[in-house]
Amino acid sequence: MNASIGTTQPRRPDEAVPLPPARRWISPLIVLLVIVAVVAGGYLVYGVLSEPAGPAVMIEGVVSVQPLSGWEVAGRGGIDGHGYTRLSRGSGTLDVVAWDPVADAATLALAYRTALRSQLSQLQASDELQPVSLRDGTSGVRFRYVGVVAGTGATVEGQATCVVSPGGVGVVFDGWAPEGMLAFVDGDIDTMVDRAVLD
Amino acid sequence: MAIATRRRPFHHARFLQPRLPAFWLYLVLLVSTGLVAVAQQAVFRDAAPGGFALSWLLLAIYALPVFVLVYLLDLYEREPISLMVAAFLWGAVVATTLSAIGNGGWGLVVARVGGPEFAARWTAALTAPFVEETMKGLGVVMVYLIARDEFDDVMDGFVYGAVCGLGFAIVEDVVYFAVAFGGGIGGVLQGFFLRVVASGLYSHVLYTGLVGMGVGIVVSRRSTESRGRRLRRAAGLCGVAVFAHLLWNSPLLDLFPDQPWTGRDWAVIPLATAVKGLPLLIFVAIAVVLARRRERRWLHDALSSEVSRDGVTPEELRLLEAPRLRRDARRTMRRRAGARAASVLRRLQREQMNLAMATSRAADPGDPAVADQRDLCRSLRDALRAIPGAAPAESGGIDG
Repeated sequence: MNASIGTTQPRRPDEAVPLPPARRWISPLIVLLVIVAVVAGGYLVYGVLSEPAGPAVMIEGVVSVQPLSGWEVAGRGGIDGHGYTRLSRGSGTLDVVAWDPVADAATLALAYRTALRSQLSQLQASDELQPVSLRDGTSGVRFRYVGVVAGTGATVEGQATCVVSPGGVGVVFDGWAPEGMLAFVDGDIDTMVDRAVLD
Repeated sequence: MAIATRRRPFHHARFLQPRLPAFWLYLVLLVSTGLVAVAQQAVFRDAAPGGFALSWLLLAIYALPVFVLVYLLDLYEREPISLMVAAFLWGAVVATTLSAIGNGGWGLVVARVGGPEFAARWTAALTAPFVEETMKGLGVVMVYLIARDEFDDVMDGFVYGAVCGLGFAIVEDVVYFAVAFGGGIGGVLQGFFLRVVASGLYSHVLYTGLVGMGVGIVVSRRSTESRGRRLRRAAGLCGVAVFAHLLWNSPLLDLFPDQPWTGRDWAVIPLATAVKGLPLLIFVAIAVVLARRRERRWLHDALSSEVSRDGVTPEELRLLEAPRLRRDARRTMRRRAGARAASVLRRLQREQMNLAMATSRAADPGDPAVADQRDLCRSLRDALRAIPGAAPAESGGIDG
């Protein structure tokens, strides 16, 4: 006599055969693994592909930046009397500006925003300063802006990351691109800024 | 009358399956991504309350009939509403939230490898089709893992996939209206015209419907096709969905007029979307017609043997195979013998569908559950004939 008689109902023909308890876990776990692979995979692959290429670039003896592959030094110049080195890849640009000694990153951000007004007309910058922290622990602030390049009429968008070196010198990482293009270079810009070494 | 109460309804799987890990995984993912999704919607609402409300109103007007249409596409065994809602919510909440994160990561890879100019043209085409079709397709897989009984054929996969895609499209549209079209009333109306009026026939509903068909093939044809063949066919359907999505997002065949759009441009936009989307719509329509024909053959095969056993009469089988005739029979019955008779006829037709399900799964026609179902059909027929005016000799769906 089957001991289960009276305690279990016979299976109807339209019911699927129940899986053993152990097997019930396998498929959901596979689903979870696929989700993790698809959601996180891109960031992992990007990390692998973001290895430095070529020697680090030293700017004004204050900060060195390691260009990623595809990025190269496009020139040097000045903004509001402060020297910068320009790295570029296609339409993406990262200007690394060595500023004067400043008290803190927020003060530097205000000063740089003022300097941008001399470069760009119709400048619109975010009021909020977003706190950032570089890989070496240096903290700073970031703001985004949109403006029109004087003379050309081209609209550009950018994000300026302002930090202060251990020696008290302000450094601005100004990544910018034509309007609509920043989203396609800000990953590289963030990576290079994050890995910058301040002296 | 005894027939309505002496037996509980035929088995339909429920969404609530607390003994299944898949159910809990579904819930955890829905709740966790739901918190993110709600926060995002709150931002849109606060930024432009009028446009936000209009977005949801317009999209509800679009989504409701599409949901009903997809529900009705399955001619012979309608899927439980709870499972369809589960598929919809997966698409609307889980798939959209996770896809946004995944697209961001793979977008970085495209930009890293191809550079900004290439990325600007191709990121949407090279990321979203793979990430989003995977995430939405997993929604169909989750519904299957929660309610394996409900996946009987390819059409079931299409129904769950299409509903999942519909949920995804709705939330994605709200995001586009708010972000790409500014979120104001005018922007929302523009976005609605572009993404729903001009493109609504071609988007996620079709992509994920195809992916769902692939899942349906893999899980419902184990007894008739080898694993390799099932996987190849499923991969083919998923491949078509991904390719169609890729083509839609790519700069290829882009006949859109340059912005800003003026009067004539608004007439050109539906043509531009049709060039990219119409071939897929035709492909899916053919696939659905073939799947429905297959279901009709299945119904005929499943119930043919029941004709001699009185589970179904030849005339009833003829009507069951043609949904339009089925509906006509009920209308005729209502005119002839009243609403109660039409209701009993509807119940008889539904239980005969369930009889088909039972006979196709039972190895032996003498299986107690099949016999029980057969008896139920007989008793329903007897009850119907007992209603005055319900049993003419020639028509009305209950010959005999």
